[in-house]
Amino acid sequence: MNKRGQVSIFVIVAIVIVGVISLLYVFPQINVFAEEINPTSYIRDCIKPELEDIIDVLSLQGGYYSPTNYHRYNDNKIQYLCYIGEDYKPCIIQQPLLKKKFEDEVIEQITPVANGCIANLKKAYDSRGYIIESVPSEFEFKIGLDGMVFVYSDPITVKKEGTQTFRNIEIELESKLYDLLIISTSIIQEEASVGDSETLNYMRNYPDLKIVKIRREGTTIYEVSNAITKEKFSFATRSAVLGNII
Amino acid sequence: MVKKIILVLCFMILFSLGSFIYPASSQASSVCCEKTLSGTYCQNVPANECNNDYDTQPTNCDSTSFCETGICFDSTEGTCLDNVAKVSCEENGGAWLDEENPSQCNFGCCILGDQAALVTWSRCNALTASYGLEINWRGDITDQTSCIEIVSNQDKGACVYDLVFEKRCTFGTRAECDGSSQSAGGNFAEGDFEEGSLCTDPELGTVCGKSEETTCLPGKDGVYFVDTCGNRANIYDSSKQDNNAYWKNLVAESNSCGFGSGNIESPSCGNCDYLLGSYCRDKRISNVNPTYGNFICADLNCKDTSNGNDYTHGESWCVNDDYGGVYEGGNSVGSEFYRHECINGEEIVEPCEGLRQEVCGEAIVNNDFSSAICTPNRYDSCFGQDNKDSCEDTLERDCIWREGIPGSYNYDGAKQIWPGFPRIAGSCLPKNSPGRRFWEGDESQNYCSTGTSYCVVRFTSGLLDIGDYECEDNCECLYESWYNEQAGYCSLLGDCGTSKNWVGVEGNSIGYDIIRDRLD
Repeated sequence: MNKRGQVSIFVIVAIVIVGVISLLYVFPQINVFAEEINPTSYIRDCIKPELEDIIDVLSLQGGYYSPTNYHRYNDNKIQYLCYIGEDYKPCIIQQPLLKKKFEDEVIEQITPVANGCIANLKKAYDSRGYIIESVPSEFEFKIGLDGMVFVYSDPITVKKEGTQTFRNIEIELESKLYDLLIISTSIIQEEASVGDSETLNYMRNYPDLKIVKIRREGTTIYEVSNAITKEKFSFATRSAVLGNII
Repeated sequence: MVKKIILVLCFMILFSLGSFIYPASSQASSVCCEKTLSGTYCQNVPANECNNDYDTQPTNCDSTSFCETGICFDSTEGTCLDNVAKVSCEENGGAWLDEENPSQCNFGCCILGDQAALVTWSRCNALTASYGLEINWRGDITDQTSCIEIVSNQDKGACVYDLVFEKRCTFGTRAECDGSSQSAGGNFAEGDFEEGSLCTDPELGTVCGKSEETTCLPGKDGVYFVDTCGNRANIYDSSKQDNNAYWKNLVAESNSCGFGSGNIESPSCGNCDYLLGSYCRDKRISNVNPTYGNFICADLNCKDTSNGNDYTHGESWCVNDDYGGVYEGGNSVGSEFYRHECINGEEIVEPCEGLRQEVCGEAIVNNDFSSAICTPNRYDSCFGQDNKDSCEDTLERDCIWREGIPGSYNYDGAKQIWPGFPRIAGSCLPKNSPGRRFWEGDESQNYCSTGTSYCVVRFTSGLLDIGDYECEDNCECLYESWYNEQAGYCSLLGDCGTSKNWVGVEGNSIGYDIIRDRLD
């Protein structure tokens, strides 16, 4: 390359640099050094993995994050949802509102996580010169027929030159857990009434359903799962135990 | 005078002599706790396990008012659960009902479009709200069959909305169509029901047309065509995808392709039948590509299972992991019974209660349908039976009678043979010997010691007593065959004596001692 060519390249590069600097000076809101933050997607991305982890733990432990009366199986503490310490008697239902319990546990576990996510969001905005306002919030978590939804309904207001308000941040998860919890409740009812449960009847009526029943030392562990989504809910019962279990 | 010398051979299996009777478990006197420290409700436990913030009574929970059980009503889901203590119901947010048949828990038929369920009114209300439907609950229908009949007999057809510029259509029941409406471009139209027609019926002139798409429908076994508006059409039949007549009127499953055969993994026909082991599923679960669409009649049956046999969906069978196979009374150490089940093409394994406290029983019903169940191993009363008939009374117990095992039970619980005593005909033993926790505690030692056998052998000598003894009574006890016989008996009691484990490995000791002693 000859000298004239080199000079031309230097001139073009210089013009581009001067142009970019001028643009940043004239339009300071253009932020080329930091990725723009969207509060909705930030909150979603922050909470969703934790939410899924919490749901997985609860599903393996009978809907309890910290089981109190449980049977240990495959390193999992599986909560007794119907239990009687004596032999020969049918169990007493310990958790009659299983779906509500599951929802309440999710809220209890996710609240500190969600508050942490909101605090981190504020920090991220502060560092970019924004002011962010949000009120200490309560969260909602609902399990429905077609899935689960986590809702952060209080507004998050972002101010700099203008004001933007974000409301009703929702995280939706496709899930068939509702069916698993309702069927688990029916199994618990059978255990409390007759001391056992005929799981094949459920599987005949619900073709996507798979129920595995494991008996150990007087305890029955149920693994209720959906053959398509592979979601699983496990719980334990102790009911109508024979006296000679060694 | 003949001098008699008695030699006692004590055949000791495993441990010291003990009683077969289980040691009484040390139980502290229990009280009824409304809630225990571990959070369980209404349990009879030692007083120190009670949560002091709740009621406690020094009596059985059955006799207390605070642990009386009743119905717990969940007003959100509309479900009623029986046998719930008041405290556990109310603490968890339910309403506890102390009535025999509370009205909130009366069942009726809840109609949800073209499906139905026998549920309470409030449950129906919750379900219809979830589906975005209006509640249709029939309290006069209280059995499942009548409830299902109601929806299966409902008129189904196209619901057409004439919106001047276009005719829209949804497929459903007459009830869903009546009173429904749609609007577009400022026009408003109520649904006009065309019984038995599909939305693709050319005579209706709707915007909906034929498509190559298929779908699975809730509550239906088969694969169905879907029109361009997303409505269901007839059963998927690749030969009729372009057949105008097939897209005109509703065709019953019984008049559709391959009815009665299940059409398992058929690329051309979606007339699946759950009872024949096929059900609509995404094509990705099999290696078959349907000619049209993404769904097939998946195979729910199980082929080449762990025992080499094929089973149909819903069948269950027994498997035992005894080394060398199952044989009466000879269960190997650590072996268990399992109930295997074929569900959705998957072989599910359910272990029966461990330590062979449960056994698996299998029956063939309707000629070729296998059904298995885990049942309690009723071996407790075997040892009290002294004749074959009572021993093998299958209504009462799971025992077998073994002829030729000599002995009686009148000497500290152990078999013994004294010279001149009559020998009993045999012994009653567990058909499936129970497992024992032989690695912990004394309980198993005590149990296995019941296998200890005594045999008194009488020798006589000549007048001079110069060591010329001759065996006179119970001479068979001197031979190895007798030892082996006794060792076998001991093993039949359970995990006692000399045994192989379930993978075929012998125990690391012989499992018994032979003690000889001389009685003068």
